[in-house]
Amino acid sequence: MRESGLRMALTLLIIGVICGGLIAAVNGVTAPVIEERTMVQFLEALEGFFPEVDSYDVSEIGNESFYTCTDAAGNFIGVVAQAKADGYGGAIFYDLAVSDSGDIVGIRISSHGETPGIGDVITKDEFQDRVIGLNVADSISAGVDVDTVSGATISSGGMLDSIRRVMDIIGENFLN
Amino acid sequence: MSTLAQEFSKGIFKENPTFRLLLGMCPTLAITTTAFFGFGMGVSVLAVLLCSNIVISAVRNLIPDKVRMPAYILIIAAFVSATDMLLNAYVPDLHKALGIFIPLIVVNCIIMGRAEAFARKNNVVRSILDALGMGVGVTISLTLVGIIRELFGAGSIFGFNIMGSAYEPMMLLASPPGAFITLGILLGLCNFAFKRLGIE
Amino acid sequence: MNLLALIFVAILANNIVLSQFLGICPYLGLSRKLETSVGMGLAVVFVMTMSAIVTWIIDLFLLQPFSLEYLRTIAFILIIAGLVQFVEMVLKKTNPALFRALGIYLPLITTNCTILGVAILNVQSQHNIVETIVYSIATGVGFTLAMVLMAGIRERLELATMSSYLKGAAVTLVSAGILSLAFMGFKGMVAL
Repeated sequence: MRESGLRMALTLLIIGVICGGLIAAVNGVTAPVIEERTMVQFLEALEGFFPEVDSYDVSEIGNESFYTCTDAAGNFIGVVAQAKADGYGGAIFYDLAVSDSGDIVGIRISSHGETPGIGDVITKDEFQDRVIGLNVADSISAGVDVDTVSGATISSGGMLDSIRRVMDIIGENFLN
Repeated sequence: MSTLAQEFSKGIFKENPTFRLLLGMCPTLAITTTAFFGFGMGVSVLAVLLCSNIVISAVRNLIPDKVRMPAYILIIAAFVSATDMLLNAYVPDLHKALGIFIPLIVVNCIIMGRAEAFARKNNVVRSILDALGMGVGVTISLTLVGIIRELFGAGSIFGFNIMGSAYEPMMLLASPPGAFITLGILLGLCNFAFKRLGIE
Repeated sequence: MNLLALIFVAILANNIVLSQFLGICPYLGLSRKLETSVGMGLAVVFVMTMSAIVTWIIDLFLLQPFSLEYLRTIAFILIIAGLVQFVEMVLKKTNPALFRALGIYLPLITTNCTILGVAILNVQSQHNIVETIVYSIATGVGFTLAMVLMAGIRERLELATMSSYLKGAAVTLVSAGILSLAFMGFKGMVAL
């Protein structure tokens, strides 16, 4: 009985180690590929927001990253935030670009779990056009200053709440 | 003893996991909004099933009976994690669309069911044929549901426009209720067809 | 998102079975009788909440600090399988009555994809511990609600005359579709 107990534990341990090793090996191959692709996509978005960007600097505030962008002459041109909002189907991850004058110049949803055809309106112009052009000094209160999209109140409201929060951080830390 | 050809073909018709055994219904309903997603999910299941069947039948005499369940779970979870990462690296669009249903292949009853009912009692060759048959059966079923929902829900198949620009897509079929209703009706039609063909 | 909205969304608007398609197997298999659907529902609420808390802690204090996120699937499923065994043992010793009520559902729960699904969703959505607990309980309640509603429908369907090809899973799925259509109505209701 003791011996078979030992054998069971050993068998499981060996399988566990082999499986763990297999996953780690695959991860070693795929992780750099995934990371590189995410970075390439983000940089493309960054250049879309600020075509004249030459270099950038990353700073972490809370769990979110802020990229301070400068042009070839070394002038500050704006900030791109990689931020998170609470949506309907979980977290929405997005990039928000704010120019040196404090205007929102672009927004890109990088991943979301919103309902196709309803909540995914946040990825479309109908919603994004309401956001672009807002200034850091504007009050952005969902449903009061900026209309939420009807039928997608949580998705668009959650986005607006998060944008307000990110704008406050940017206004405090990056714009003078 | 059934012949090797029967071992393969049973998963496609007689014991089709989706339409006959009603296994793995969650992804069948969730990700079949387009034919491509259904096909992608089917192939992912096929890959995991093939790997787990091979390994489990190869080590079937080494694993003590009492701990076989946790051992199978470990083996299956390893292959699922590997599939998850490979899809994320090389087919990102599909990975994004299948989302949480990739890690959930671990608890897909088809995989565990074949390990328990087939791979632990049969040799590697038979287990490979069994996995291929079942996997192809799943792929065909998921693609079929995907084709129907995409054709009527978006007017296209595999992204190619079929219905022409005048067609007004039926949103219902792309939405969750449409998934249930489409599968329910398909199941009824399958029962009818199988009865007519004399396959019980 | 505030907690009330989270509860509303998890139970009604984004019901785990009817709009997220998790847990379809027990939904089709065990919704024939009211009694079994309530039993399964309660067992799910219980195990789901416990496993969500444990996996959340493991993820935050073990997987994330050591960058082992790629082991998430395998770690979570092992935790859930172990937890189910543990709950079974404890219940048997301490509360035989509850064990008799939930016992037969517990082994089925390891392979119930709602449990693993909710554990992963909590971590992916970066819920904090309070949100994790609230979301898990609400999701479990939503699962129970869907089960009980279906059981009610199916007890009546037993008596209905229909084509023999549609009996069983086929008509259950179509009914679930109509139920899901009704639940979709909740989507437009929240204005928080």
